[in-house]
Amino acid sequence: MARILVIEDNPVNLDLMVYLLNAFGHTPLAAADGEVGIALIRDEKPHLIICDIQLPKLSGYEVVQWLKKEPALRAIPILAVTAYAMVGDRDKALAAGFDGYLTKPIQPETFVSQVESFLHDTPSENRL
Amino acid sequence: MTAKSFNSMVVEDIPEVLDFIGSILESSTEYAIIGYDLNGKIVLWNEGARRLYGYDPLEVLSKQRISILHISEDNSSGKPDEIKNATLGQGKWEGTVAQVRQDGERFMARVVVTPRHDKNGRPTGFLLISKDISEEIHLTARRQQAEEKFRSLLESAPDAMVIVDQAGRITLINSQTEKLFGYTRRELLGNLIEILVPERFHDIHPNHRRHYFTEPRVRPMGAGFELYGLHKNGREFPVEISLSPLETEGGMLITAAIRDVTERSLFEKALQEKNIELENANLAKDRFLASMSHELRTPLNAIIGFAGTLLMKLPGPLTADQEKHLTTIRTSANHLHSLINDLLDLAKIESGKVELKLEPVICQEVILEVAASLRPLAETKGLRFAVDMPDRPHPIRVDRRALSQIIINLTDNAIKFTEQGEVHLALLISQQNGQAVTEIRVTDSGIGIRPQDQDRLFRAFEQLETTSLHRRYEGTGLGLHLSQKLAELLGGTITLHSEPDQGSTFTLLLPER
Repeated sequence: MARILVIEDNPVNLDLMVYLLNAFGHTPLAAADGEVGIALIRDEKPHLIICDIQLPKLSGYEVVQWLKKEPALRAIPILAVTAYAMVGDRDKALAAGFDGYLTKPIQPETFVSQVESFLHDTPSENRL
Repeated sequence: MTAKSFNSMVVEDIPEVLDFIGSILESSTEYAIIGYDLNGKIVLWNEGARRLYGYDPLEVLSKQRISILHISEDNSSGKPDEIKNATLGQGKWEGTVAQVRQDGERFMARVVVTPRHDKNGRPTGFLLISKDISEEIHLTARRQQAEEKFRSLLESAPDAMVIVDQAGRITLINSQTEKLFGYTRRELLGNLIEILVPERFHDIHPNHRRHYFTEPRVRPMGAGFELYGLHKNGREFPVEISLSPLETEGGMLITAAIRDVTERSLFEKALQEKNIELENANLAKDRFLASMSHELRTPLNAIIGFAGTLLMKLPGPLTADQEKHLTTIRTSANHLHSLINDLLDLAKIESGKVELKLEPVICQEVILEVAASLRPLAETKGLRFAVDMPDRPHPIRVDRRALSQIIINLTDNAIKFTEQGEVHLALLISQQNGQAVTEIRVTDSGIGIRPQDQDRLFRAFEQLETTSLHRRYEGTGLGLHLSQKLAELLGGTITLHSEPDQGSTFTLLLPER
């Protein structure tokens, strides 16, 4: 099971993702803005990051830019959350350095398996 | 021959004088020169007289009186006597008088009559010189007619018309000019045109006027500048003026057609303000749409998400009723969500806000992407989901987002309206009229569409509800309409082949571009 950081400013959406990750046995970490998100990445070194694009303080683009410049952290997969209608945003997200994207609204049935498909095969000692 | 023209009374005995006078008489072919005695008897008749009146000298000399040249009405009203008396009394008569030819044709003649005297100063007769002036009269009449026509033409123009000479003096105006500027015709004629021009232009206007004569052609005046007229009461008003040169016998004149555009200027200003207002309203609408989409979607995401966790029974087991109600909640929320998305897209297309980014796109990539995101939906319903594409990458110039959206909509529909069997996505490249055409086919084994319903299908909110069965298909009724619009934006089209209960094939056709 993995440590997964969710950076999302909308509390209800954050709750939903945290709840689902918990339900499937992962350890979710939560941040409501980009700054807190970066602090948590540094301190907790999560296995995967889910990051909204529109965020207070630092946007999702700024978070991914920072992350991909950190040699020790750049390997952590980071997924963008984009609206279903904004197909163009997905390309933009991939171009900006995100490893993948999740579409809103989150489909609970498929959400966790989608997230898991981006998890590296982490060595067993790193697993919780 | 000369001798025949003379009566013995006139003939003197100096041959050279006679010969000289004879030459004059004979060569005066335009003028009738006629002599007659106090009784009116004709005693001299030159070649001009013969040509003008038609009689040979021998027919008239000593045989006819001068009255045969007058029309009968003049003869009976005593015109010949009147002329005779006036000539004797004043030493000369000059005038225009009606004359008649031998053949009876009448004409107007300019006539001069002088008395002849003997050595003692007593009158012996008259010398009459006449000329046919019917042609001149005719020409004058025509000129007057032409002038009249020109004047009425000026009057019939809707604009004020002012004609100005090289010195800038007003030579002709129409009554619209009087109305527009408040001056009478008498006040304007002969005045400088600058009387109608606001004072601040007085130093430059004469130069422009002089310059126009160096390059006279029909053109609007002061292109790019706002022009103003000056009313007699001192009020200025915006005008539009067009100039044209007018060639006359008296030299070049300028015709200026002047139109009061006060009202139009007001309209234009009002229109401009309205335009700005509309633009602002449009911006406000766009901002509203953008923020509304965000505000509406956010709570919907939560509703759809948490209804989903409950339906997954993550928090705990559900009763049958709870499960049914939650399903309704989630279905309705999903419906609402796609409605919002479609409406926003449609609003963007309708307002021309969709900016296409044409770039080389590998068709297979987009199709696989759509397949990946929709396959789970099909498989959840127990449908086979197949994709059939050529191996060789097929790039086309297209807007990736629009293409993706169309394929998503078509595939989503196919899954939605198919209860069993399969949904099949295929990519084909064909040639039509020597042009490569990309075909993306979405085929399902669903309920099919009756021929009579197929036309309506692409219209907005025309989801078919021919039977109550169809009511349970969620959807906005906008998807196909939207897809067709997007296809048109890409220069393509969507066609449909379907029969009831035999499934449907929607084909997106994209010509090379």
